[in-house]
Amino acid sequence: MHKSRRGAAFYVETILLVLFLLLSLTVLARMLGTARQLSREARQLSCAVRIAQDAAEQLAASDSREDFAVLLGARQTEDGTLARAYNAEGAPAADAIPAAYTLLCRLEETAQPHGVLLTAYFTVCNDSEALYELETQKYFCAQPGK
Amino acid sequence: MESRPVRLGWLSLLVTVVILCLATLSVLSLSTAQADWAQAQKQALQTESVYALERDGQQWLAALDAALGAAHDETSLDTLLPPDTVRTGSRVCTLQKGADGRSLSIAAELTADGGYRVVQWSQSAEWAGEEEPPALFGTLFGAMD
Repeated sequence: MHKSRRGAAFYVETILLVLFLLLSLTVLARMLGTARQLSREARQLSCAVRIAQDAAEQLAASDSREDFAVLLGARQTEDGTLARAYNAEGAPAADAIPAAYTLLCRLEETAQPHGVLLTAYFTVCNDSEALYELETQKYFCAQPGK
Repeated sequence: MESRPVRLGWLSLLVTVVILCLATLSVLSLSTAQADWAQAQKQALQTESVYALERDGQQWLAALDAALGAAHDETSLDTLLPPDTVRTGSRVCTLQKGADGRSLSIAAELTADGGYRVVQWSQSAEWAGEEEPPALFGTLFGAMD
């Protein structure tokens, strides 16, 4: 009788311990999963911002629309959008390699009395969604040397 | 009748310690990830703000170029210059203000052939002080919602 009571106490303790362990692990797994997802999203957003910013600076440094396309090293798609592939670290990648990020750049020209105002719409996306969008402009004077 | 309490054995103690260590690790991991995410969003908003001012500056340059092309003399130039532009002799300058306290200062020298040369293009931002950091548990519960 005394021995069976001690055995029951052991089983109760074990069950309580396992329940506590399972409950704790469930909560911790959820926390770690959330942390991993947040960290991945933060890394992707940060990389996308840097890619868009680099492209915007290349537009600022270029002397013409054609010059910008050469600086960006982008290929032109059928609808006239410039596209450039980047790897997971945000460095330009060859088009043959599956890209972690793709930069799409749509250019619109607005005629001005003495030049052209070029508006660039940058969209950085991964294979499933757009991560970041940036809009910038550059004014090209028709007679830059005057 | 003898009653014996349920005793916590060494295994229970070990599991409790392991769970506490894992909990600490999880809390630190989640708060770091939350801070990374907040930082990335802040970076994205600042970049948008910088290039919104860049657009304003480029539009100002286009308007200045148009004014220089249309003006016949200095008097007509003053009336044709873009808004918020100050001319001092052969120097024109403007201060474009952004939505978040950021500003862009542009200065250009007017050349003798009717053109201009940009001599200053600088952005600055007023430091508004650090925001109050969120409470640790507020951050955690907010992240897990």
